[in-house]
Amino acid sequence: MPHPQRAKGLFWRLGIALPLLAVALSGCKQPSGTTSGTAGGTTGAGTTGTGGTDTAAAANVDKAAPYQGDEIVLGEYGSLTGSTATFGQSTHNGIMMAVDEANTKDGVLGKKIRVVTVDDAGKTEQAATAVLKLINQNKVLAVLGEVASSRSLAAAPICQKAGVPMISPTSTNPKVTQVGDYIFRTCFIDPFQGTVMARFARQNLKATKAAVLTDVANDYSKGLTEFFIEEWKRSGGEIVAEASYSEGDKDFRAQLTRIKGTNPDVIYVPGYYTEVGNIAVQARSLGIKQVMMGGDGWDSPKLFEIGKQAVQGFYFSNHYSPQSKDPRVVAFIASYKKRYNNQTPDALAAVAYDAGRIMIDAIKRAGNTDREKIRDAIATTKSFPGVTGNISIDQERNAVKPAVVLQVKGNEAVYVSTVNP
Amino acid sequence: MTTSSLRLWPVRIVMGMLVVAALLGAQSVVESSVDPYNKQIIVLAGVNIILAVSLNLINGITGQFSLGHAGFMAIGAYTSAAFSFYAGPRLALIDPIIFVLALLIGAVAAGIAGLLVGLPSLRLRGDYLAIVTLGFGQIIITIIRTIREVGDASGFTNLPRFTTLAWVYGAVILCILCVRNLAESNLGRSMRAVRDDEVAAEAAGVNTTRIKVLAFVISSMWAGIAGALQAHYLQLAHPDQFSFMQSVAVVVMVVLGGLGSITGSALAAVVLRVLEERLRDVSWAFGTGIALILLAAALSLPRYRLMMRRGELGGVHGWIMWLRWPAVSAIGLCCLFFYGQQWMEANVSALRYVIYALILIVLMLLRPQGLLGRGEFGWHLFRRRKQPNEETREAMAHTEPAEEETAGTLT
Amino acid sequence: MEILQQIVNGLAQGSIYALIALGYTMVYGVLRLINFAHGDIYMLGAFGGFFAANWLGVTRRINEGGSANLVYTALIFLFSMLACAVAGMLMERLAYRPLRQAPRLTALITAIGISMLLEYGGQAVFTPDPQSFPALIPGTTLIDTPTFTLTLVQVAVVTVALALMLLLQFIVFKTPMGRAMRAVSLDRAAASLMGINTDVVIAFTFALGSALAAAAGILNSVYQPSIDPLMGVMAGLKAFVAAVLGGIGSIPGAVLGGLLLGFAETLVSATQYSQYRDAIAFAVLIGVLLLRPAGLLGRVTAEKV
Repeated sequence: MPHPQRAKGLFWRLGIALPLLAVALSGCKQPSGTTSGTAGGTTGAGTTGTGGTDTAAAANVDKAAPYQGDEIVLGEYGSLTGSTATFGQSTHNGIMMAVDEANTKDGVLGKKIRVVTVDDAGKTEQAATAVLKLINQNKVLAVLGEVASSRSLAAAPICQKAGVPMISPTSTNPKVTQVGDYIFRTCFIDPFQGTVMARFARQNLKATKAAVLTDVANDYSKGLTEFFIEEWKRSGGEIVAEASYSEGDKDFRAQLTRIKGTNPDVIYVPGYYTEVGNIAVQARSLGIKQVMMGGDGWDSPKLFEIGKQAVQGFYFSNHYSPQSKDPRVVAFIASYKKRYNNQTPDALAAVAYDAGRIMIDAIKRAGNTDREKIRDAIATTKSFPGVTGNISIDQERNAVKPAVVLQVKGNEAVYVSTVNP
Repeated sequence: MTTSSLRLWPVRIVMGMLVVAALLGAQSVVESSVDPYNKQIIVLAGVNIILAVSLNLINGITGQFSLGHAGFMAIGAYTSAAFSFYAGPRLALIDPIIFVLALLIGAVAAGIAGLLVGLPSLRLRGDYLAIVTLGFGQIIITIIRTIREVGDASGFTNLPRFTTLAWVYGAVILCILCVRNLAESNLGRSMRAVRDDEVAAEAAGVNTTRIKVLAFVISSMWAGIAGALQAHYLQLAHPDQFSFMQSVAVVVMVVLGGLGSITGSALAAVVLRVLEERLRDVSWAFGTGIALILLAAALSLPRYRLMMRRGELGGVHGWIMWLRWPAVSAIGLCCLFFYGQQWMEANVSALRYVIYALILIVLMLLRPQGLLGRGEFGWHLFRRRKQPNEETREAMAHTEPAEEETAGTLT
Repeated sequence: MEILQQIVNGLAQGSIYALIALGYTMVYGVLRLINFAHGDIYMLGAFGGFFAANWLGVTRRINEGGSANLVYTALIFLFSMLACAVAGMLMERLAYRPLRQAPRLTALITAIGISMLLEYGGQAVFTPDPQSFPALIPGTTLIDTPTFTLTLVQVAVVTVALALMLLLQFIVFKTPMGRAMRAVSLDRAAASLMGINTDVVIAFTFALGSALAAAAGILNSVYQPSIDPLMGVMAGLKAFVAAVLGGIGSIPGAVLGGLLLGFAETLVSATQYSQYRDAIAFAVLIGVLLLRPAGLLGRVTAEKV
């Protein structure tokens, strides 16, 4: 049965058949103008002789075509599945609420807004693919997304090259908006938030010895830690222990035991609520009575649900106080609860809601669907009345807004103080 | 042997040039007619092919079980990226040369890592080897996360974009050639001997350690190249891209394609990548479901025909028995599609990997030997053989699995 | 004294790993199959306990400041273990039994498929949010000195784990079913010729392993009160490593491997090198395997020609 002839032509067959297969299977679905994938591939194999010379002529279709359509299509990419799905879904909820509210008020520019959501499963390479799909297949006007900085960093260069404005609700790494002038964000950056908590603990809590527990697999946590430590040392404090865990861990007792031994005044845990509740409970069971502090990753009803007694009295920095009597906040929380099965919104949902509204507001102010004008409109956002504070976009395309420090009391986070940038 | 291969060289050079020309031609066509989204799928499918085909050398042809392919990929990606990011701009060379150097550096680094892991650990067998390679992958990720110069946990960004379609598919062709030629050579025979019976191979004079290390190093080098290609296409490398799950994904491609079948690995790599992307659309998920049901029906037909022939099932009854599961699932799928479409559309992102997992399970249950078994895909399948008469065809249908097993070995 | 505390930490974590590793090792023993979905059964176990506690009203009582009644706690354990045993048997029947004659790696791939199905299906059904698991065992502190605390939960985790392991030891070595299991793992064909119904034995093994995983899921969730659909990924991986470390197929080996892994992780986490924890833990593992290629307690079988 095995025959030398059979194998001889193998690589030829593969060389031609596989790219062909790939092209055919991925079945380009763009509506018109271009040939279908299979046809394209065949011509490629056919024009063997001459094809080599005209690569330079091949247009690299990175720039997105001018927007057209009877409705405004916004793209959202996020981790709706995978290990960070809970963040992706909160963000999705916030964005959808902002858009539906705008649609009940006749949309924007007299058109209805539609959101196309693409899941990236929490993977960086899929984030890049997702944004390419939004821009090239769904032909979106602008892009909202990613919670995680690493995935925003994968997608941002694509939006920048295509000239599609992108607002990341909660990517805190400074590098994200440095990608280019089409990339914005509506949250704090790490240097600010890390510093806020260090200053607060030094001044208000009069702490001198701090221990830090970082998620090493998470750049948000690493960023906050870095700037917290910097500010802490600058102001004369002492870091007595630096311990770490990685995303997905459930047992933190070993690290906490070590921290306990160094007897700090405060413990800084810049992680997400998915782990912090667990950390707090375990710290309590080890007899750690010191106060813990964190960042906006803490803000979720899940923190109180899981942490219960153990998180009482802990401090964290946030964008806004959910207890605020500000009518904007009250209205937001009420309608969020009504819409999503009586859930209290977390910080991710609130910031995403603001990101969606800033985008819609910018489109309104731009007056048409020219992406460059929308970009300029976002860049000139001044004291936008968001739920998470009055937001202005600065020269570096970052949101400038005050941070508040909250303290956990019962099932609520109570306002303690405001820190201005 | 030597003279004939010497005489072949001019032909090979011409063929090589033709391949390069064809690649560039294909690239220019793709550049102008395929949007960047589909282009990215095609390119990443190419990267997957390299990964799957190279892992096949260890898992399929040599019969060792490696679960650390993503680790070697990470080494290739990060070393080549570090080279083109830090050294690239300082070298007065044109981009393609820098890229070739970066690819070579990635390949060599991954190869050395393969040697370091392979040498001591190949006295381990089966699942113990799997754990060691898995552990190695985890160690690599953990270390990368702490290196600031390559962006620790936030990823290595702002890499130059060197990879194009032609580069990737050029590498695919080279990789397939390399693995195929190796598999057909003396060394390949030794590898298969190691797979089939290590003790017997050793007794027959095969230096099993050398063979295994060789397979390991070559496979790692290609994984390194795949990583480098991906990093220079996405313009970033992130530790999460090289997690344990990525290694598992490559193993899935190899087994799904058929252990030992090079074309099978390549086919499965493309199919899985495209499936993952296309299941985002409800209509596609539906189409795939119908296709699977048809496949299931087709594959189970011979068994029921045989039972009918033997008189274990009556005529009409037999047909009903054959079609009951396909029919029920098709009706179910149609109901879901027509009445639950809205629900499906709202939840399709949450269900994408659920459907993907189901397809994987069903495919494996239907074709335990993998899509192509140990056979290869090629023109020979289309070449019409002498028309066998009814009886022999029936006989062939019965002996099909056995034939596949024996015919399977790569030439 | 800190080291004493760390030993307790490691012991509790290690016994949970050991319980999960037992399931891996038993299935491997009878089928030579790495059941990748085992970690997800552990997740199902945790969710089973979570829902059982909700239905029985235990969660509400605990939230109102009460504590769980011992009978209810036992019921929750039983319910979840039973549910997971059924899930394990179903999994075996549908995805592994049809492939028993197929190459080993084929069943591995369906195992990976089942694992993905449970993880992503879990995210679709239970939502990806973390849930708070009720404190079935009150958080009473037994010993409380400034440098050492011992809680009832830790004692309970270790005791229950130990009791389950002893029960398993009894089942495997003192009952007819256990004898059949050992026979099947020694030589399935020969066992079948001796009149053992191998299908039943294999299904029973799956049920037993899954029940242990469910118990581990509940114990772990009492100890670390947040559960989510992906909690089985890391735990499953670690337990797999533990099983191999101890010598896959060996029951005492799985226990030893689980405990060792728990200690190793705890000790590394307790130093300032905690960011290298996974690297060091795996390096130790590789080192051990290089010295003892069949794991700590695994038998090195000389291959006969």
